[in-house]
Amino acid sequence: MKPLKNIGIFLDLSETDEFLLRYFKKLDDVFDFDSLTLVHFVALESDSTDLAALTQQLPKPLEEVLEDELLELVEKVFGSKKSSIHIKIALGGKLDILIKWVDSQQFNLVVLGKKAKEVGTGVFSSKVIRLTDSDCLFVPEEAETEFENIVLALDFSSYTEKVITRGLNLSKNLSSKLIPVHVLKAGFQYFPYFKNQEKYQNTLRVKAESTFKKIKKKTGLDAELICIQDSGNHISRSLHDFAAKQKANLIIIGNKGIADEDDFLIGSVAEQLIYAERKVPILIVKPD
Amino acid sequence: MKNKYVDIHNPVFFPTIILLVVFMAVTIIVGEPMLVLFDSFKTFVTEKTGWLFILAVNFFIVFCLYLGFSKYGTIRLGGKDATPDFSTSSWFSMLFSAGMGIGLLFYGVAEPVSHYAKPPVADPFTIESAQDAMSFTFLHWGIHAWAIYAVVALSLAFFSFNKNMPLTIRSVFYPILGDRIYGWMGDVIDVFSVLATIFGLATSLGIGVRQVSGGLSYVFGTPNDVWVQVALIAGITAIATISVVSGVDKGVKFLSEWNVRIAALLLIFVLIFGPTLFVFKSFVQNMGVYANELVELSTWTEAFVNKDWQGGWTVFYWAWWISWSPFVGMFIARISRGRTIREFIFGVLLAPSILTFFWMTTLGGSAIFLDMQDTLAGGNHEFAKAIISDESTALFVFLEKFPLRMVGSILGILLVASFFVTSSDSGSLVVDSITSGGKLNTPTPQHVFWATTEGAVAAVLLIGGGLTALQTATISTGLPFLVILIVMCYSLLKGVKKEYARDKQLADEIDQKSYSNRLTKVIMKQIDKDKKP
Repeated sequence: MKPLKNIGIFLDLSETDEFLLRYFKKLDDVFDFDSLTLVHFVALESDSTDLAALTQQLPKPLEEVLEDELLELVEKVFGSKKSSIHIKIALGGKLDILIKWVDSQQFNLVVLGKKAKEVGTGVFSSKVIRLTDSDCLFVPEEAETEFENIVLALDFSSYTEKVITRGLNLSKNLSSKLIPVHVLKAGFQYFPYFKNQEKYQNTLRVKAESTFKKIKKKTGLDAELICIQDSGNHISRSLHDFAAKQKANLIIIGNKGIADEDDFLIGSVAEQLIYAERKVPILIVKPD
Repeated sequence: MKNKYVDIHNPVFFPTIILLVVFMAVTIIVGEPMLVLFDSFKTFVTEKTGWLFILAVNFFIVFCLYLGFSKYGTIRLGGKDATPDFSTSSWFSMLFSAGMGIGLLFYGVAEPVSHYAKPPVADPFTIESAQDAMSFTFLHWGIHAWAIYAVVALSLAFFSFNKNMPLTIRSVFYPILGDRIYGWMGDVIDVFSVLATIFGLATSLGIGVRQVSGGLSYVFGTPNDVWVQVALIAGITAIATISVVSGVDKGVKFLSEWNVRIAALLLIFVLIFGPTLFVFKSFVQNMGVYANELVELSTWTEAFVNKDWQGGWTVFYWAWWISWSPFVGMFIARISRGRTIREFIFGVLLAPSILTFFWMTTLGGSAIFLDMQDTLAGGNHEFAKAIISDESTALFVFLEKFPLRMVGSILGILLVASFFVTSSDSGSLVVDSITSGGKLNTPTPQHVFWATTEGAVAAVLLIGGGLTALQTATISTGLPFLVILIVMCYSLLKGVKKEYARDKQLADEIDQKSYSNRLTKVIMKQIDKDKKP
């Protein structure tokens, strides 16, 4: 896995921007990124004539105005303007073109913010997360800038190794404690073959642990697997609740689970985590 | 490796060459026993895996129909905003000319008459066997063949136009193998597709040259043996090569355009001077019978009859189409940018099939009709027997029944020869492109090399065992490529599903209200700032 060197941060002109930059400054102090690119997508409605009229009155192109606005914020957060910070303003309202550009930049991480209160404003972020091929970090506004505990959500799909390597990579620099977690799925019960639930979960646990042992050896991870019993809730809820209880500062999860079809751009667990849960930042690991 | 003379992808180029050289050397050195080996291998493959070919090719049709009718049918090749490069009518005619190769000239008369005289189920020379003859011919040249091409062409078009990957078979496996397609796995896939293309092509060239030689001997009485055929291969390949080297690329283009025109002329000629009304009547009837019996015909595996008819015909055709498919597929892919998947599927499955049916009815159907007429006049199927006595002269025996027979026959010979040139040329282009890692502009010497190699493979196969060797080569490369095709379907479906989900995601609206407010604020701030000083 490549070290974190080249980062893209999506900003949307709201208060979240400052929060995101502050959150990232702390990481930058540790990692000293080669390049931070601040990306802003101008989602102008084609029929919004008011805005178009206003733009006409501007003394310089909208692009420059927005660039200045973001630079101002960078200065506020990072002190003087850092040479490693670039700004990309995407005009034209074509998200697919921007995503293509983002993927061509080979960002090690794309960072998006999530507002704590406003409902429904996560649409853009979750869209970007789905469409890009880069790893995504999704940071809710309430998140602390600490990295003591990192939860690794493992389902033993093809992503599991990547999730662990990313975790190891982060913990090396941030000296965080890694907590590998696996949610035991109860599975469907078919009449008349009702299994003993406890016995069944035990079998699953034994299987998970033996798989984990192999991966541990391969990746050099030094931590014990924690298996969470199926609570009847969605797996994402079990994961998030566990992470919150452990005071985890980050959940790392694969883009797709073992059972997800090609129709989904991201798996249902990752989807629910970014959609419904609001406390813990989530890092979604994409395929190579 | 890349310099002035060559631009190749070593891991594909060299294994292909080594396998070809070994194959050719063994065929030449071993000689006669090789023929026996070829024959028993062919029998083994068709007997043991014939059912697999039948099942798989039917599956391809079901798969194509599923894609065509499903929601994925709306995906456009080349992205949402792509527009077709060619008008629908010229797209249709180009599709037809892609499949309208030497085979249609070789088998156009020979196949229906052969089924009529030696039917797999009915009694020979009966009305029943005549109808079955047309149905089986339609089966072999109809939507099954085009479904195979459609799978390959659609996969290639989708992954190269929508996913911006190189136009080689390995790209299609990206959803399954990921970046491993750039490693040895991709190389293996490409080596197989090159071998399949070369042997499929060699079969076409082989039967083409047999027909030219048969025609020459029929019309001018020249000897008709393997050495004449080899000399013809050398001669025609040389002409093709010279036309390419001297930069007369236009010559080949000119030939391929005129091929279709002359073929159309031949068709109209037979239509006018032959049993015109019968052709139209039977075309309608044959189509109806074909549509009605499609399921039965296409799943028939000679299970209750002990014959080896199917191995020589249906399984051979399926293998031939499969081994041709990288070649035809690449061509179809290139001309289909801007079509939706739905348009693509129904265009590729139906349009060329229907034209081919008309061709087959006009040539083969008329031949059967003429034979039946002869019999009513007291004959004993001499005409049909003369046609099937040698497939390579079938067309010329048939044309003898028409006025201007000398002109017709010479036209036929020239047509086959010029099809040979264009097939050899476009075939070497495809092989060249795959062995160079998906490039389109490779150095001329390399192009010449492949054109020569194809001629050589065809010649060696003819020397080593005639048509049996050609058929064996086709069937045995068709088998591994069949497996590749099945996996290709899965991979394509995966890719298409993801594309659809992306399109849908992009189409969903973004909540813009609060964003507009924020943007307005920034703009107002700037305007205010501007006013102050």
